[in-house]
Formats: sequence, C-alpha cells, structure tokens
Amino acid sequence: MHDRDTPVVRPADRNETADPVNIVRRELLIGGAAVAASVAGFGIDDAEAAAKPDRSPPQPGDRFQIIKGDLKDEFLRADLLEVGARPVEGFPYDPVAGVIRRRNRLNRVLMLRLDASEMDEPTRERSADGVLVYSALCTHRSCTIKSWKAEERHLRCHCHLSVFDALSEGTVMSGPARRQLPMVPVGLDDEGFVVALEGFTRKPGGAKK
Amino acid sequence: MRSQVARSLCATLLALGVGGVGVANAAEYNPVTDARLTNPEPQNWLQWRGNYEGWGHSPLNQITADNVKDLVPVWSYSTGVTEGHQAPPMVNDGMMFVSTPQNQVIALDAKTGTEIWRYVRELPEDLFQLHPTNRGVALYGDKVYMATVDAGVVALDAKTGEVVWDVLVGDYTDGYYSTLSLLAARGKIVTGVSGGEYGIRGYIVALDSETGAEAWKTYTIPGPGEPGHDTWKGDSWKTGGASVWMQGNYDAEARLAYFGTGNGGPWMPDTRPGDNLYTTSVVALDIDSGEIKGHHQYHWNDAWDWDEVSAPLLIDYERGGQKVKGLVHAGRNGYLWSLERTPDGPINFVAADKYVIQNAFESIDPETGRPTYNEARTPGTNKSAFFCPSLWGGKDWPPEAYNPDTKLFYIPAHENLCSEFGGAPIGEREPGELYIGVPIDVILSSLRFHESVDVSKPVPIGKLQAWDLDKGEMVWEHSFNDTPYWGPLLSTGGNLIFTGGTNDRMFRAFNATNGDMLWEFPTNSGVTGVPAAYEVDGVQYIAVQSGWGVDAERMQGLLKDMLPAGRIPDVPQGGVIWVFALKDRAS
Repeated sequence: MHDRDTPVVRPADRNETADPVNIVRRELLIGGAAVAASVAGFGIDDAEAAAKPDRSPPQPGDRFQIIKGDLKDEFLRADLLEVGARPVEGFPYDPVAGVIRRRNRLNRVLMLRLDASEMDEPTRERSADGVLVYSALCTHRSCTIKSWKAEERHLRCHCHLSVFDALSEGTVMSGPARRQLPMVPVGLDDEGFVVALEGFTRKPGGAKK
Repeated sequence: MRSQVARSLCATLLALGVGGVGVANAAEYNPVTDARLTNPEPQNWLQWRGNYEGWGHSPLNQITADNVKDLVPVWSYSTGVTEGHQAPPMVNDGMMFVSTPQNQVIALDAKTGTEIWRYVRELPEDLFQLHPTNRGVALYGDKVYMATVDAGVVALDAKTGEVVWDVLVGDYTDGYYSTLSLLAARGKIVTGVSGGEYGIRGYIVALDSETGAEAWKTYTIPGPGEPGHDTWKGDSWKTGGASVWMQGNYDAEARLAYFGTGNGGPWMPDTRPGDNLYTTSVVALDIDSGEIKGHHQYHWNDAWDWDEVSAPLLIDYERGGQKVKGLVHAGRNGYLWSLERTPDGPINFVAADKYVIQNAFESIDPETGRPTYNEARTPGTNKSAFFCPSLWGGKDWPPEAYNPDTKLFYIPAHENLCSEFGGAPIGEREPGELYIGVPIDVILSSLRFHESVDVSKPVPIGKLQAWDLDKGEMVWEHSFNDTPYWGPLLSTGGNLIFTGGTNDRMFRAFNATNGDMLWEFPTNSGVTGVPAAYEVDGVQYIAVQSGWGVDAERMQGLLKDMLPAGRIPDVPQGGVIWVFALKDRAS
C-alpha cells in the first residue's frame, strides 16, 4: 500500500536541479493534506474527502488507475505509455483508502506521454517523465473526450468538436469550449508510479451557459 | 422498473411580476384542454407542431406570399445561453412560453416581449450533454411541462413559473436523458428518453399531468415473453437503443399516439443480430394504457445510425384512387414513407419513394415495405462501408410540414452527403459512457460527398422539397449551397413556408406553391428553432428562436474540412427569440 507521506520525486528533483516551483509544490504536499486539499477540492474539505474517498476529487499523493484497454487496472507509470500515443482513460486512486475515485464522473482523467521538449513551460512543470494528466471532461458540456489528433497533439471532444492543445495546458484551439482543459500536476513517487502533486488546476466539467 | 424520484425544488425563478398585458394574461390564463389541442384556435400555437397531427401549419393568412416582403422584426429577446435553440415559441392567448438549452423556460408577453417569469433548472455538475437542447414545452391545463437533460420532467405553474412537481424518469449517470417536447393528452404528459449511443434500452413514459405519478411505461424494445423479443439474440436487447427523442403525434379519435424510435445500439448490426424491434420504427400506443397496438419498422437491424425518431404526420392522401388515412414520414434512411393507420392500431405499408440519393437499400418489398440491403453499403465490425445518405440521413430531426391548402408535404432534406465507416470490436459497457462500437475518430472523419460532387463549385447540400403525396412526386425544391440545412418548417395559410437552418444566419420565407424565395432576414445566429405563427389583437406574428449548435455545428465543423477554405463561414452562438410582423401592422 502506498503511503501518502512517501516522498514524491519529480524528474527535476532526480536531476537535482534547484527549481523553486517544485520545492514549493513538494513542501505543499509534504506539509499536509489540508493545505493541498484547499487547492484541490473545490469546496470539499479533508474530512469529506476522507469520508467519501470514492467521490472526492484527486488529492496530492493519489495514483492513477487505468480503466480500459490492454493496461486495464494498472497503476500509471511513465514506462507504460508510448510517447505520442493515444491517451489512456482512468481515475485517481486513493492509496490510503485503497479506493479508486470513480463514483464522481468529474474525476475522470486522460493520461498520455509526450516529448517534454515540445511542451510549453507551465505544461512541462506539471508533467513527470513526459506524462500529463488532463481532465477527460470537455469544458463545454462535460462530454467525455475520446478523440486524439496525434500529429497536432490535440485532444478533441466528439460532442461539439472543441479542440484542446495537450502541449500548452489544454488551451482551447477551436470549438465552442471557452475554458482550458484542467490538468492534475503530477510527479513520480519512489516506486516509479505517477502521482498527483495537487488537485485539478481548475474546476473540471462543462460550462453553465 | 425504475421508480420515479421526486426531486427537490432545484429551480430558480429569476423574474416574477411584470406590468402590462403580461400580468393581465397571466391572471386570466386560459387552461389548455384536450378539446383545444384537438381543434386549436388559429391565433394560438399550443403544441410544438401546432396540432396533434404534426402538420406544423397555421391557418393564419394576414402575412401572405404577396406581402411577406414587408415583414419586419417587432421584438427580440436574448435567452442568455448558447447551443442549439430548437424549441418553438408556444402561445396561448397572448402569453408565450419558450424553452432553451440548459432547460430554461421563459414566459413572455407575446405582443411586447416583456418577460413574465423565467425558470432555470439547476443541472447536475457531472451531467454530460451530447445534445444540449430542448425541443419545446407542453401546455396543458394550467401548467407548462418540460423534459430535462437529466432525464426528468418538470411541471410549472403557467401563471407564475413555480414548480408544481418534478420527477425523474431515467438515470442520467446511466446514459439516459431527454430533449424532446412533450405530448399532452387524456390527462397525461408523455415523454421519452435519449441515449442510443450509450447502450440504453429505450422507453416511453406517461405521467399524470396533475401529480407526475407514472401512468404507464412502455419499453421500445420488448422484454422476454413480449411480442418481438425474438427479434433479438442473447442479452443484446438490454442495450439495444430504440431511444425516443422526438414528440409523438396523436390521433385523438382513435386515442393512439404515434412515436418514432431511434437507431439500434451499438451501431454495428452484427453486435445485435435480428430485426431488432422496435428500433427505427413507428409504434402506435394506446394513450390510456401504453400498449403497443401496431408498428412499422422502416428498416431492420439498423447499420447506419439512421434514427427514425420523427413521428409520422397524420395526413389523409389518395393512392390508386383510394383515400388513405395516412401516416407520412421522411425517413432518415432517405425514403419518403407513406403508410396507412387503422383505428385499432395496426399500420399498413402503402409506398416508399426515394427523396435523396440512397444506395444502401437494393429494393423495397411492395407488399410489406421491408427493404433488402446492399451488403457492400452496410457497415459491420471490421467492415467499413461507404453509404448514402450520411449518418445524419436524408432528414434528421427538423420536422416536415403539411399544408392542407396546397396539399403539399414539405421536407428539410440533406442531399449529396454520405458516410464511410466501420466498427471495431466493442468492449464492456460502462454506464454513462459512449457505447457505439465505432471508434470516435472514425466517426469524426466519416462524412463524404457523393461521387458526383465537384467541390470546385458550390455544393447543393440543403434541399427544401415539396411533395405531392397523391402522386408520390416532388413538385419543387430549393437548394442551399455549401451549408448544413437544419431548418424546421412552418407552413401558413398565407401560402408560405418559413425556415432557417443555414450557416448564413438567414430566416426565410418561400412561396408554398412554387418554391420561390420571397423574403429573408439575417438573425444573430443560425436558426435551428421551430418557427410558429400566432395572432394577438388582430396582428399576425411569426416567431422563431435563432441559436446555432448541436448537430448543425457538428456537420458544419466536418464540412469545413471538406470544402476549400473560406467557403464555410463561422456561425456565432447565443440564443435570441425573434418575432416578426408586417411593417404596417407593427407598432
């Protein structure tokens, strides 16, 4: 069982580069879930997250469990993903409670691995060994994003054709969506699993109007 | 059977109490009865197609082919939301009710556009919306009813907008949702469920109009022991689709409701061998019991995503010198179906005529109407096929119209569009997620032009057609080039057909007899709303919602990649209610 207090190592840490942003993030994570939860939970406090771990939004230290395809049931590791390949689908996994956070559709994520040198800086900072974790729900009307345009590195929603750039923080490239696709900033733990450093960067799901 | 769940009041009433005519009308609200729906007054538009027969025809004739050039906007009103605005403005003695995407209902003074009240539904945070729209309210008694995208029905007080009852008829987390307008008859509000791409089993539900209690529930896929169940193999019936996302039409004398049904699911026919009753069919239901008394399946074991959800229009026509009490349906499968209804329910086939290019059927049995298929044009798992019309069909949901004066039947059609796709082995169904069996990237690149199309020239895609039902012949057609055409039709006693639906944002009027275009007006967005006609204080009005979205937007996005740059304009979103009258009548 993974322990939430297990030190989380980002690629930058392993290279021993001094990155103030990373240090702050790590301190946030290690410093206590309450601080992180206020960023991650969008109104859900620590007690509620503990009471309903299968519904709670991703928390720092969460792993990610793959739910479909050849990798079904695996916990995400960078070496499972081919660079540039179609994203895999999954949900955050609470290693403390041993529960996949699947009873809340808003937690659904897409996980993919890209060449970090192609990413813009903020995106690269949220990646680990090229692995990116995005919300799977289109910010237009909450449809599950299923389409991958490999050449452009674009995620596309089939419902109304909103297109998001996976290399630049899920920026909207076209279509009716108006908000970026939320990300979960990730790192690697000492066992090589991809883990959440924070919750979603913004509220997942569609717009109200 | 899933029990109905009474919902907490999650409505927000944003506006109450406005002066002038609106309050007077609200205070003296004229209850809507079966008698009024059966014989609607010319000045009102009491249900989504104006009458139970589904004609989309108003007998009002102040606005005519001769004077329509003088039509001007008299008021407009922003709905405050984006996406596909498809509902007609409904009018009862000067009070207008309009539903919008995100399940709002707005009540307005039909003469001035003054808002009387607004209901805004608080939708669940995790709700997906493949089709963010609503096709209209039902008016019945002293209430207004709306189906909701979280698979519910809400009843509102017509005078105040207050919630009277609010029930769920399905589970949106399992892929069920509702976008249709509602049929009101015999003390019941009849709704249905979408979800044919999510592995649902479709059904129709009647609710008590006063309480919301379930009166009956009829699955559109028969269960074990029921007639038609043997048209399914194994457990495929449990996820076979046959959704119901358009309002049924109604024979008040026979007390039979006619509903169309959606595609089979998953899409590939080999995943559900058999005819798959009652997918892609019309079913006749006893309005009191919900019992299926008759049906006609337009095509068996659907392979093309050709929902046949548009209910057939109840029209009497002649064939072979004989008068037929008919049912007429412009099929998504590209054929114009002429059927016969009977008082006890059974439906007889009369004729089927191609109205667009169709290459998937090899023949139609002249006795039964059963098609045979061209296997090369029939997709399957690991078998791609090119077929026409496209998956959006010859006509999708935008309703046809019938004018009893011209005796012509009008179709908003798509021509020259085809599809090419095949399936992939399908995995386990995940509740609330797509269950199609065709990779989504394949679908998003599946639209094709017919081989006869030369893209260096304007491509006629939209077709407004007029058909003589007695002869089974097209009388005239008008082409819309380089544009999707998602334009519901309104016929009027002024010898006019009103329609929008194109990407140039125009709302247009045509001469109903000869197809001449007589008037057009550029609105704020694309007009995918159902137009309606009504009269207040001696002035005839034409009302429609403009608000582009849903499948019109999808088709537009795909056409952009198929035509040279610059040929397909962007269409801005955002809903507006437009109301027009003759210049010298407007005040």
